Amino acid sequence: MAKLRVLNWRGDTTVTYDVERAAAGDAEQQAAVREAERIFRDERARGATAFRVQPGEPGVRIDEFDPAAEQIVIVPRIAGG
Amino acid sequence: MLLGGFLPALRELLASLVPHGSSLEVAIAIGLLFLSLACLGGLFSRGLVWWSAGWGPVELGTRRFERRRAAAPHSYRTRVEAERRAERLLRDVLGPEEFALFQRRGYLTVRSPSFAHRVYLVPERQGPVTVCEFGKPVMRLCVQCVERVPDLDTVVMHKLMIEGNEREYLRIANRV
Repeated sequence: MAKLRVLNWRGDTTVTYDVERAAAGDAEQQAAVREAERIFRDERARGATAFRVQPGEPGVRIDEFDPAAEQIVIVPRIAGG
Repeated sequence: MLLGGFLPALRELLASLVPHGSSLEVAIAIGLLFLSLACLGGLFSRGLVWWSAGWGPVELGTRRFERRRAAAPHSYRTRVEAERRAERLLRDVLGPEEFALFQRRGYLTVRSPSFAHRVYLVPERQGPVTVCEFGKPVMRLCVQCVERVPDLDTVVMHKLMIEGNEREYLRIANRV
């Protein structure tokens, strides 16, 4: 199961989806992937930055939704303090 | 007049339900009945207010979700739950060993991908990040999320931005 995590005041909001099952024709998982993609697009439009993340490895910035990524973390827009 | 007819009828009903009760017991029963009705009415009206204010279940990412997110009260329980989630996320991002090291030290060391001898020391609480070169602090940077997020999510933000988008991170950061 892949995860899309959006950082917010709740800690984070997570959407999970199974790309393999979606590719196999599972309608529920296809809808979950579409939903994750929509959230990704919306958050990016709001100025957030997305990263493909694997435990213990450096995060890699991504500009397009990557359904193959095990975990995507979306960081809200940042500003100088 | 309506109440005048209603009360004796109620009294009779309760007297039949409490056949051997004294007047005092019947009066107490009437009082309890009214209290229960008032409580139910209160709960119902609170429920109506809760629902009409948009606090029902909402779909993630919708306008209603955004409104709710903006208006939500940051209660103690919500903050504790948020901190717990943030801790889980940081543990997932770092891996168990690095997370344990972070907990022991109280700060996270992030190596610069662009400058060979530079490391960033990210504190566990929101605050300036210390930049060290050749083992010595050279400057402190202040960067924060525009949205309010838990402290440990800020650590995740610093790590990901430094590793994956360092140029932009340095452009935005204020030196303090």
